[in-house]
Parts: sequence; structure tokens; C-alpha cells
Amino acid sequence: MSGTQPAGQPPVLLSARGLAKVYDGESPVQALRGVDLDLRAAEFVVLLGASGSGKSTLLNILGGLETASSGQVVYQDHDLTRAGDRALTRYRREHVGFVFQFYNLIASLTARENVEAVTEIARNPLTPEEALTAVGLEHRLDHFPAQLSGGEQQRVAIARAIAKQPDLLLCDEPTGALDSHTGIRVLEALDEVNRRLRTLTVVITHNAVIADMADRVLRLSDGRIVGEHRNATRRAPRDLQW
Amino acid sequence: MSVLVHKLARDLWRLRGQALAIALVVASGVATYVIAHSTMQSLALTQREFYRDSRFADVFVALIRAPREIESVITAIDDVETVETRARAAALVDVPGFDDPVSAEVLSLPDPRKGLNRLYLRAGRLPASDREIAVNEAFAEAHDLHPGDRLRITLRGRQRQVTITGIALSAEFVYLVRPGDLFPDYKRYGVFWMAREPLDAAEGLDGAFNDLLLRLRPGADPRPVIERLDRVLAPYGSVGAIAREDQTSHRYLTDEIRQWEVQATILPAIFLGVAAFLLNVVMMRLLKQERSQVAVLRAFGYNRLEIGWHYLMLAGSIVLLGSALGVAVGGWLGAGMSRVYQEFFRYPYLHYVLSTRVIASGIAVSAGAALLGAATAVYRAARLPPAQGMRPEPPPRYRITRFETSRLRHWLSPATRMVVRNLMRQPLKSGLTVLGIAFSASILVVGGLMEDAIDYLVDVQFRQALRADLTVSFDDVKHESVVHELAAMPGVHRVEPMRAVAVRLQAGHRHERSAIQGLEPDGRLYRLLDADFRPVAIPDQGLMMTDMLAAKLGLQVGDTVRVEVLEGNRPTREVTLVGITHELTGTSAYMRRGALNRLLREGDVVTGAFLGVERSALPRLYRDIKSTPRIAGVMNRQVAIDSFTETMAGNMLIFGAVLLVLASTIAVGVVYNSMRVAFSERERELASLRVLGYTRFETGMILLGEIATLTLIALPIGGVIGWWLSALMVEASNSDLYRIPVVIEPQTYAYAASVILIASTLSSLLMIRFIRRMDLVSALKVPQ
Repeated sequence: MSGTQPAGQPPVLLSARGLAKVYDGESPVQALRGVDLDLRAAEFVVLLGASGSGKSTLLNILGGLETASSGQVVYQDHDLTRAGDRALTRYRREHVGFVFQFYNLIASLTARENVEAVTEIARNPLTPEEALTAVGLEHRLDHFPAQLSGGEQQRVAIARAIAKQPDLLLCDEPTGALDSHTGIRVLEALDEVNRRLRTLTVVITHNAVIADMADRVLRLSDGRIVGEHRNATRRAPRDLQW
Repeated sequence: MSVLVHKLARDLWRLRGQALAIALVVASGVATYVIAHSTMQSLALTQREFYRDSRFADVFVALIRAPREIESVITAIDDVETVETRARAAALVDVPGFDDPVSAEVLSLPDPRKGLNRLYLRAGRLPASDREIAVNEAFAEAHDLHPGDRLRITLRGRQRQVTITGIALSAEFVYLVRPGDLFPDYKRYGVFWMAREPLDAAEGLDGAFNDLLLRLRPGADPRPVIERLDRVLAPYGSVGAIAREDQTSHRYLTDEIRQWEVQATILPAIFLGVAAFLLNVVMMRLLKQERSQVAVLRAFGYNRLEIGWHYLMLAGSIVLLGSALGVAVGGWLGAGMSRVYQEFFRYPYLHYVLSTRVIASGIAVSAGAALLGAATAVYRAARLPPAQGMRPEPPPRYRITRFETSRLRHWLSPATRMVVRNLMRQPLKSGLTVLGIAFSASILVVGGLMEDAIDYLVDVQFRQALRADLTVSFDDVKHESVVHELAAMPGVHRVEPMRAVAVRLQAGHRHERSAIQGLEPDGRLYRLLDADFRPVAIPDQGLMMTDMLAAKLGLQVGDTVRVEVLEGNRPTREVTLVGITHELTGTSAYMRRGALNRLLREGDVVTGAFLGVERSALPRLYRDIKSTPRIAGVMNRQVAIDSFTETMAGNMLIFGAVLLVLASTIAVGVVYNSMRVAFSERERELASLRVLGYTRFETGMILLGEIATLTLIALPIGGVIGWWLSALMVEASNSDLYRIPVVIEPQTYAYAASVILIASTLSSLLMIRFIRRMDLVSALKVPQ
């Protein structure tokens, strides 16, 4: 969690310092209480935490969906803390891929078209076919979300997220709505993308088993990072079980 | 249930924008209903009361001269209750300071005890001597005359100075128009009343009469009475008795009331139909969002009825709010409309009735329409088994359209492609939105119909058909050489004589009273028109008539018509119908003058003439005409147009304006709601796009592009529906007095389009605000 860069390690892509977030309201909620964090290119990071631990808030701030109340987030040399909507939109458009628990595919578009929605506005995208092949859906190109299973829909969401060749891929409970068998297929897709495209991948989950496939595991509790460890070896998703 | 009541109140508050828009739409529909019904009822009630108070006659006869002894014969006819003989005279009037020729009908006062068509005195007293008259109120007001003022009138060529003693109203002249004219002209035509004896003396009617009124026993059929009466009076120059239903003023009034009946039926149906449609869309949308809540309530043990009731109450509250507003606004405007009519018809009083029945039925009809709209949505929601309802709804099914494989696709931007895709893949939803917007555009078109139609009617009648600057009519038939005298008058550059004769036309069992006008073959001042309103020539022989008259008689070209002349020795002839003319007012028949003269076996005689006149010479010409006793009436075309637009058209235009305001309200309501619904349905999708890196502008373009496209598709459809609804309304409201053409000017379409576009733009600005404030994180958190 220090800013120093050990020799031989990939560069730091995203770093947070003293990150805090308070949700205003009748009874203000402190979601983050000073988080320091460095994320490196090509890393696979799992953020573990119970519900209400602040992990989603952290992910949203890292992804430019929300802004912090205090502290600083720097992406390469851009300060996201002070960025306005326009700059954050550009940041998301050019660098970030999102995967959500509930897929959020556009129902009226086919798998291919859902990916196209991104490739059409990206600077150096994969083709929709390449992206869908990467998640093993090359045979489902022209199917609508309604014609796909939950796991397939989530894989389309992953294909959509990686098609722009993002620098970081942020996944919020990507297997939360899926059974274990399907969930593992989705994790395989994420693992594959991370290895092949060397995309910094951050997965948040409350499922501790998933931690075994990560390079690094961070534990969040009550808005703070309370633990960190590195796996000596990453386990293949198919060896996971829950 | 108290929790559900809280929920209801909060739902209403949450939906306040949409609820208000729907309430306004409902209010507009109810207001139209209330205005039309209350005006119709008020007019009808006032008519009944005025007729009763003034002992309005059931049968009317004009004749040349009959001895008073015959009165006892008439009284003996079955079903005759009261007989009133009158003296009637035509007068030329000289109003100080007014150059135009003025004519008047002078009538003897009704019998003070049991007389019919009693006068309602507005001011002053009834006349008594031969130097005193009462004048009708419209005429008095047009010239600012008051009791005590003096006029010069010419009766039978003798001029006399008379003093106005009273200003009066009569049920016989609620709608007052000079015989042969289409529209009222209060400045140039009046009705005067004189005491019986001096008028008898002036007209040489001592011991005789030339006009007759009958009152029949309640419920009696006037037809057999008229048949007897015609036989009795034929020797005395009667042109045939007419029943009340054919009396000009009564017919016009009845027609006006009927027009309101049409307005009261068709317009509210259209307006409320749109409101119901809107409510349906909104309720469907709302209940879709409430799906899981409905399921939870069901799981707790609320039954379908309770839940259905809860949501119907939601719709009902909106409808009730709208109805209350509609009744208030409608009552207010209806009372105003009735006052306009009271002025126009010069009723002595007008009882504005806003009956509880109208209010109740207005609310019931709108509530029925709206709840019908909501019912399907509510039913669907309540029917769902709870467990299924709590699971997210399966995503809708879509299919690939031809657009994807077309080459066009590659030329479009991603956002445009997305717009096209969305529209094509949800044809039903797109179709409903288009229909909603199209209907509101169509209402605007219907709202503009009145003004356009009136402009067109004036154009056809006064610029295409009647082109004479002045139309003069003589007091009797004259030899055609009178043309030379007219041609010699100042400023007259063209004279076309005509012969008009009152007739009864009969074909089979159908018959109609009409007049045959004998026109010059190469006439330019009065032209007959074909279906496209282009001039047609009059054939040498045979009769032509307006399509309306032909339809009434069930005649086609080539058929034979029986012509019963109602003048002179009243011959009966047979003529062939040789052509149909097209006019927007009146049911007239035409012949060549020569042919008509031959038919009547008379010489080259005329009863009037069309004049082309230098405008600058009009004052001098008027002075000359006034000193020509033979000329009984003069109609100035420009004056007729002005008086038409001022009076009759005025009423229609006022209602037209009201309609336009209500239609605009509906249009704005529909457009705003369509957009609001489109936004909430797409909120999650739009949020997804924002997360993927689409800018606010791009996201906005996808939503607004969709709505703009639907609006642009809806506009021409709205135009077509508007035309169609106008035709429907016109079809229902055509009368034999005039026919409203289905003419809609480009400006009306343009107005309709701009109201919709402005409404869309304003709603778009609101949507842009929604997009700006969209909470990306929470929009994506809930399951689909």
C-alpha cells in the first residue's frame, strides 16, 4: 500500500490516498474512512467485504461513477478527485470497463449490438466478434438478452466491458446473481481476459472463495482496508467451489 | 386500508407532474362536454320559455288580401286553437345620418288579449297612432335608436315621419334575416310594429288581412291543418302556409341547437378518448414498476379486489381532480358562451342551466373512459401470482429487423442506429406513442376547422358564386326594360336581371319549399358552381339545383320534378333536372331566366338584378335607390361578408378559440406524458450507456432522437386523423341552412405541428434535466 515501486513490478495505474465518502442525508453515512490503495497494470485484485463495508462505493469512485468527499484518486497522472462530469465520462469511455451484478444489458440489442454500443465510441476497440469470442460466446452473436441464460448475459456484459480494451476492468459482484456452475464460467472469462489482455481487473465480492483466483486480496470493513495478502499462485476458476 | 391510503397519497405526489398533465387532459375533455351540453340545454330551455311566454304561433301564412270574415272558417278547422290575423307591409326606411338603403318589414301589433307572437318590450311603450312604431332591438342598437327618436318610412310609395315609442323583441325574429339574404344585417333590415288600424289604412286592408298566425291544440299535427288552410286561402294569394318547423328563425335556432348537440357528442368523445388512452399508458407503466410491490401486498394477504381498488383509486383521484377542474372551467366558459348567444339571438333572458345531470354525466363519462383505460393495467397487475410477481419480469422479446441487414445502417451514427433499432424493435410501443401524439395533433386540427371552414365558405359564396357588388330586389315583377334604368344609375357598370319565384318542389312523396332563380345565360355576377367550385353554364332548358336540395328530394339528373308555383295563379308544372350545382349555403334551384319566364307563361319579367358598381359611386347610387320606390331591398356583398363574420362566424370562432385552447392543453399533456414514460422506461438503459462512457449529450440524443422521430412520424398521421375527424364532425353537423366544408388551411396544420413541437421541445428540456440528475449508481443497482 505504499507509493514506492518495487523493482520488476508493473507500473501503478490507479492510486488512492485518504479516500473518504460521506452520503449526506438526515443521518449521514460514512461509507469510506480513509482508504489508501495502489493498483497496478495487469493485476487481478479481489476486494472482499460484507455488505455495507464500503466496497461498492470504493469501486464506483475508482470507476468515475461517483466522487469522493475527501482524499485523492489519481489515474496515471490525472486527478479524478477534481474532475467534472465531462472528464469522468471521458475517463470511463477511454479507460474503464464495468461489469455489474445485474448485467445491465440493453434488452433491445443483440449480444453483438450490445458490444457495438461500446466499440462504436471507443478509440481502439476489439471487434464485437473478438470480444464475444474472448468470453466464449462466438456462437451467440445475434441473440437478444432474453434468449440468453444469466451466465451468458453476464459474459456479454464482460465482452462489452473489455471490447474497448480498457486499462482497468471493474466488476461489482459479477457472480452475485448466478449459480456456482455458471458463476465459474463467468470467472473463467474474467481470468482469461486478465491474462490475455493484461487488463487490471478488480472484482468485488462477499464470496471469499473467489479470492483464491486473485494476485492480491484486499479486505474491507466499515469503510477501511483491514487486510491484504498476496496469493503465491492464482487458482484456476474451475478449481474453485462454493 | 389506511396504509394503502398513505401509499396512494405518496404515489400521487411522486407522480404529480404526470398526474397533473393527465388531469388537465381529462379537464379539457370534461370542459368541452360541459360547455357543449350546457349551452345546448340553455339554448333549448330559453327557446321553450320564450316561445311559451310570447305565445309563439304554430302555423304561418302570408297572402295578398283576404276578408276578415274568413277568420271564422279558419277557426273551424280541426285542431286550430287561436287565429290571429295581421297586416304586413314592406317599408323603405330613411335613418338620419345613414346613407345606405334600409328596408323593414312592418307588422301590426298582436291582439293585446289573446294575440300570438307577443312582443317583449325592452324599452318604452307600444305604438298607438299612425305616426308611432316599435322597432326590433337589433335594429335600434345598430343605429343607436331610442324611444322618442324619429325615422322616415315609405309605405306603399307614401313617405311619413314616425316616432319610435318602444324597442321590442319577438320570438318570431330571434334570428332575423331579410328574405333572400343568407345572413343577418341589422343595420339595413329591421322589423317594425305599428298599431293595427293605421297599418290597415296604409296598406288598404280595411276589413281584410294579409298575414295569418295559428296556434294549434297541444300535440296537434300541423300537416292536415296546413292542407285545409291552403285550400281555404288559395283564392286570396297565399303562397302556402308553413309550419313552425319551417319558419326561418325557428329553423335556424333549432339548427344551432342541433349543432351544439353534435359538438356535445363528438368532441368530448374525441377528447375523452385521448384522455383514456393516456391514462392507460401511464397506469400500465406505473403498475409495471409496482409489480413487486403488488406481489408483496398479495403475499401479505391483500386480495385482488383490494389491490385493484387501490390502483383504481389512484387513477380515480386523477380523473376526479381533472373532472372537477373541467366542470368549473366548462361551467364558466359555458355561461360565457350562453351570454354570447343571448346577445346574438337577443333573447329577453337566458337561463344558463348547468344541470347536475350534465355535471354527473360529464364526470361519469370521463371517469368511465379513464378507468376503462386504467382497468386493463390494474387487472393485469392484480392477476399475477405473488411469487411470480416478486421475481424480476422476464426481459421483453425482440427480433432483428430488416434495418440491420440494410446498407443504410452503415451510414448512420451509433446513436442514430440505436434510435432506429429501438423504434423498429418495439413497434407496438412506438406505435402507441405515435398514436397518442397524432391524436393530440388531430384535435388541434379539428380546433382550427371552424375558422378555416368559415373563410372558405365566405370565399366560395361571396367571391366565386355571388360576385355582384349589389343585389337589388323589386317590390313586384317588372318588365326587363328596368335593366336600362338600373344601368343608367351612377356607378353601375353591369346589370344582370333575375327572376326569383317561390315554389314547392315535389318528387315522389318528398317535397321542399324553395325558390327558383332565373339567371342570365352569360351571367358573370352570379355564377353556378360545380363540385370543384368552378363556374358552370346554365343549360337552355330545364332546372338545376344544389346538391343539398337534390339529395333532399332524392333526385338525380334526368329526373322530373313537379314545380308548384306559390305566386300569382299558382300553376303547377313539370321540369327536368338537368344539372347539379354545388354551394355551401341554401337549397336553391336555378333556371335560365328565359326558360323560367316561359315556364310561368309570362313575358320578359324580372324581380331583381345583380349590379356591378364602382365603389366610389356607392353613396350617390344609394341616394338614387332610396328614391326609387320599386326597389324593396338592396344587399351589399361586402356588408354581407362583414355582417356574417361579425355575427354568425363570431359565435363559431369563439367556440373554435375555446376548443383550440383545450386541444392545446391535451396536446401538451400527451406529449409530456409520452416523454416522461419513455424516460422512465429507458432510465436504466440510459444509465448503462452513461457508465459505458456515453456523454450526457449522446445519451440525451438517443432518448430525444427517439421521441423526435416518433413526433415527426406522428405529425402527418395527426394531420390525416384531424382531417378525418373534421369530416366526421362536418358530416354530423351539416344542415340545410349551410354546409360547413371540410377545408383545413396549411396554417392550421402548421399551428397543430408547432404546438406539438413546442410541447416536445419543452418536455425535452425537462428530460435533459432528468438525464443530468440521473443517479447512475442506483439506477444500475436494482435487478432488471
